[in-house]
Amino acid sequence: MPGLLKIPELYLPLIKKFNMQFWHDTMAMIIPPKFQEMISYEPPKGRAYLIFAITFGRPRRYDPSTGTVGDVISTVDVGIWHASKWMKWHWDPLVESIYEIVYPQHVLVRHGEPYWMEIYNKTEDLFVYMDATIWLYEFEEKYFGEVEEYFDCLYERVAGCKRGG
Amino acid sequence: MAVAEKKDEIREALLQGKIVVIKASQSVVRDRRGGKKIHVITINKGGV
Repeated sequence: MPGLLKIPELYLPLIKKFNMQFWHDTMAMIIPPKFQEMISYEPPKGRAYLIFAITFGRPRRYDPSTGTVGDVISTVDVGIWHASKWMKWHWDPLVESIYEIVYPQHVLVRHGEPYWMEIYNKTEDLFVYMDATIWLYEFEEKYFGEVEEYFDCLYERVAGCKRGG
Repeated sequence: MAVAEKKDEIREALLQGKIVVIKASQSVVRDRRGGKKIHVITINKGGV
């Protein structure tokens, strides 16, 4: 089982200042074989998310004829490539070292500036069921720039220089 | 369970080569092809 999920302490001033609300977006996916597509994830208009973790459920075989889930799988043939503003494009195959952890994130998304994922299933005949939970704080999009500025200012306080400098 | 109750809808989407996403939130999940590669099932408050 994944370890404990922790709210980053550096977020606490933001939560108060911008009236952020905690919640988690849990979804299940069923991925057909021979699948590859870019999928975007974003809040509705006027909202923004500060994402601080993702947890994945154990992926399982799915039988479309009966609608039932089966054995847990571990494979590099199914998974996700993903990226965001502060996250490099990288590979998350459905293996235990990925889905058995709390996956830390530090991602800001808003409507029109989504979280991109390329989901793939390179198998010939395996339907895969998996769930994922995105842990986040939601806030009004009008504060998006100020939230970014908060992190920039933190950086300047710690590093003593402008971001990128 | 939504996966069981929606199995016919899920099977049809899968046979069309679409990924099926089941969720309950107002967040927006979509593909870049106008929905040709994704089928979203939204769970209403209190159940399916």
